[in-house]
Amino acid sequence: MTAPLPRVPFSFARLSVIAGNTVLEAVRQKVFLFFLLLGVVFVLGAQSLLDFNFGGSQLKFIYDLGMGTMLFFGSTLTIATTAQLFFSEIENRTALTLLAKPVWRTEFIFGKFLGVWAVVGVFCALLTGLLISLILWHEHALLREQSGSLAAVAAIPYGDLVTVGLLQWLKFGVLAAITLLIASFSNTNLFTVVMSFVILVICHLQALAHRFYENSENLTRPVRLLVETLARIIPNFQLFNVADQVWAPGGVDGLLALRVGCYALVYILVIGALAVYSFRRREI
Amino acid sequence: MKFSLFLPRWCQTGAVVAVTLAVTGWTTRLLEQPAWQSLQSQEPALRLDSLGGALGQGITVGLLGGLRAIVADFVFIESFTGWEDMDVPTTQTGLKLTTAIDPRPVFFWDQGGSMIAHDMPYWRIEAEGGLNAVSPERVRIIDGEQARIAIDYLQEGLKFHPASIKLYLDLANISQTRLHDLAATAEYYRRAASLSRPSWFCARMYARTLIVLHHERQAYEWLVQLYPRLPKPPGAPGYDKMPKNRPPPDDQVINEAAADTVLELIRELEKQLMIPPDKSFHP
Repeated sequence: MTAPLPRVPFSFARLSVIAGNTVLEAVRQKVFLFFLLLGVVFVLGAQSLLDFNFGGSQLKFIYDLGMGTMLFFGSTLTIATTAQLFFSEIENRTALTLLAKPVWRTEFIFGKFLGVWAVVGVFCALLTGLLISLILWHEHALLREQSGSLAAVAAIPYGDLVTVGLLQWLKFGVLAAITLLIASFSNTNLFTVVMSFVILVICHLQALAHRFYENSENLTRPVRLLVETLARIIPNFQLFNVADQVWAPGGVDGLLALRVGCYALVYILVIGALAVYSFRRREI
Repeated sequence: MKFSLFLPRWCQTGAVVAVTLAVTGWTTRLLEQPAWQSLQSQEPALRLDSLGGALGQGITVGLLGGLRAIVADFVFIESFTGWEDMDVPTTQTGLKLTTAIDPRPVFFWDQGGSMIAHDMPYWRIEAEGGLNAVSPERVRIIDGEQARIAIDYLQEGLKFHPASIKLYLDLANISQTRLHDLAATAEYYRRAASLSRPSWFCARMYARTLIVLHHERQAYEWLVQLYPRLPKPPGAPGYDKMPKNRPPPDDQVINEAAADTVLELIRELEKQLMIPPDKSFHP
């Protein structure tokens, strides 16, 4: 009979090794490069879509399209990468080998999370940088057309563009934690991906649905309580839609950005902890 | 007795997850509520009532991905297909869907209002056999119906763009040419002339509409209080009384204000109202 392994303390070093490996694995897999390339093509392609712009200014159109690209492909990348990296460990039995050693499941889950979050961070940073360069280039072109009249081109708050990119990264963090939570009890990659997308849609629509129900008068008390509870269980992703504020007179409200940032961090920690709880009860 | 004896493991995990998320949700209200209220007050939210079934038609992804601007542009182009085919329901639905997705550009409201009020009556008349086959009474009814739809549409647009002179001009134009309601026309001109950045053209048109409505005294009083505020070129009557601390207005603003035309109108009204010279307006 073998003696039980001695209990080792939680180690940030082991966590960072798992995170580093996750980043390497993610970059080796084609998913990251594929979505990054798609995102870049879409952002650069915004110029050729300018003919379809009827509403706002050229710069705003490019910005809207760029942010839309980041949100769409960023969400897809987050879900696909998280699920793929988690299940590759399970299916290749590397998780079994790893967890047979003195490695905490918490280290495994948070290592995976940090690795994915770093990859998504690179994606957000690259697209934000590209978007800013493109807007800057168009701004200069417009200035040249208007013979240098600054009044002709509204001042672009580039700092706010970075803030919005940062908030999107935080939102993808919450999404990665949700995907890990689902993966922690799910048996297949496909189920995790589908469920994560469904939850992503619910998280976006819950605030709108909540307001819709809140305004309807003929709701019974139990139904109202149920709606309120459901609204509390699901994080509100509409909070991260501060992109429109960039063009508002006062720009992005710093306090609002801070609140949304804290909101995201709380959810990342709580959902991450729940993923650990669920994963600890799982038989691999 | 342990809790785990009563519930299967997946149920326990689910319950713990749900309860923890609910507690987190209630706790983070302190962060969420002020941020959400601030966002809602500054940004036109998606309007669920207008979106209706469209959420299931493949645009959900676009809306959620923040691609509102481009999705709205494409829906607007799509509604143009209806416009080319003179298809009232398709065009009208397309226009409403466009502004439901992205109410921010005034262009959509302005173009949509014009199409509904000015183009669609002809399509409907054409569908009923053309102008020769439709009675003048029926033409009036169709005109009225379409104008009222357009006015409701533009009024909705004003909620998002309360300072848009363009929308007020559209409303005044539709009230005048389609509904022949001069009182409403005058009211829209007055509101456009009372904005913080007023339209001098609308201010003048308000007075002219009042004259057509035989409210000459009211028009005169309006013009007399309007004239001192108008930007004027150097040498024009009342130029000396203009505030000196402001930069001189450019030619375009001076032309739009047309202070000389306003003064002529005041003089004409003084004659009509038989105002004695000692009580006449002296700029």
